[in-house]
Amino acid sequence: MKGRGADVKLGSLSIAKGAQEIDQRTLQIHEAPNAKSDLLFKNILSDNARTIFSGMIRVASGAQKTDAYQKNCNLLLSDDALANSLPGLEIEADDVRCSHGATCGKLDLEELFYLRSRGIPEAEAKQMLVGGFCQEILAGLQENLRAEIDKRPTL
Amino acid sequence: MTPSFEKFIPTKSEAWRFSGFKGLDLSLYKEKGSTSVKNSKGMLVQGDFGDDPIGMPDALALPFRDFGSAEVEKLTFEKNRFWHIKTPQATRGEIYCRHHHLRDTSLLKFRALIEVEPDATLNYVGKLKTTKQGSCSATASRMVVAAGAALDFVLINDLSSDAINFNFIEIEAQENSKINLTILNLGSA
Repeated sequence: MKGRGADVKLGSLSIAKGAQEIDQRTLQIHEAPNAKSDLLFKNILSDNARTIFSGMIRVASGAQKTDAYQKNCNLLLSDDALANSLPGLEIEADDVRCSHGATCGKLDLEELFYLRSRGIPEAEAKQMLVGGFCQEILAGLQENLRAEIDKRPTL
Repeated sequence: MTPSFEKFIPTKSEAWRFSGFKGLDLSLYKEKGSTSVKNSKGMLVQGDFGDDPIGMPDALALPFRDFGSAEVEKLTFEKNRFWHIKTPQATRGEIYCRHHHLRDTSLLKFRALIEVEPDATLNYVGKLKTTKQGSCSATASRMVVAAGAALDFVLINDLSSDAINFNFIEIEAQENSKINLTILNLGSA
């Protein structure tokens, strides 16, 4: 972030299957004041897949009033999948709003039960929950692109 | 390790060193000339990329009306060249860029500089698709979004299950610029 008042949104959705490994490294560098960066990286893992997210927000001393956020969310669809998350902050300014977070979990059984209790088959219910997990990223896409991706059986 | 990965290990190649910004020096791109993108309703960037020929005719002739482009202006970049795509000041550009990786154990690589000049807007959609096993892809992109400019950048990696893919993206956001970047790694989906 080199200019005052810049506004950057970074989103990622990764689907890892089989023995795939996805390694993501991000660096949000704030050098100017009053800039905003918002990062959300989401991963869906099944089989033996592995993901690594290592992110850093770095705020220089002159970058006052920075607003920076970083979040990594992982959805594990298999007991053998592995997600590593390493969010980080390095802040040299004293008037900023910076935060980071990471989540890792499986499909919510209560949500799955709710859908099944409404007569939705298990596979379809799981698909709906996975689709819901993706929506936060996909919602920002153009409609034609989103429709293309929504057709995929994985989602 | 696939054969194509053995041919290409970024950290061992000075030309493709991804561990620093040295290889992404702006002057390196500008020497190659630039492609101006302005006031296009829709634009397709396509061609042969990488070390191997990928000129599958039907892939390169895909209709782009699905992406809202009434007019499609075609650009072809030379193989193994740097791209320098510039959206001039106070104009609006739109690029749909599709890369197909069609051969087994092949290596596809490119580097691009995407500049959005002051008060310009650029919508960029890039798709990288590999359908063959053992392929390796490496891309490095640097985006400079000037004061008051806007960039909406979407990168979709649609990869075969054992493909190896490197994407290095650097974004420079200048004063009051607005950037929205989305990366989708769709695995073998």
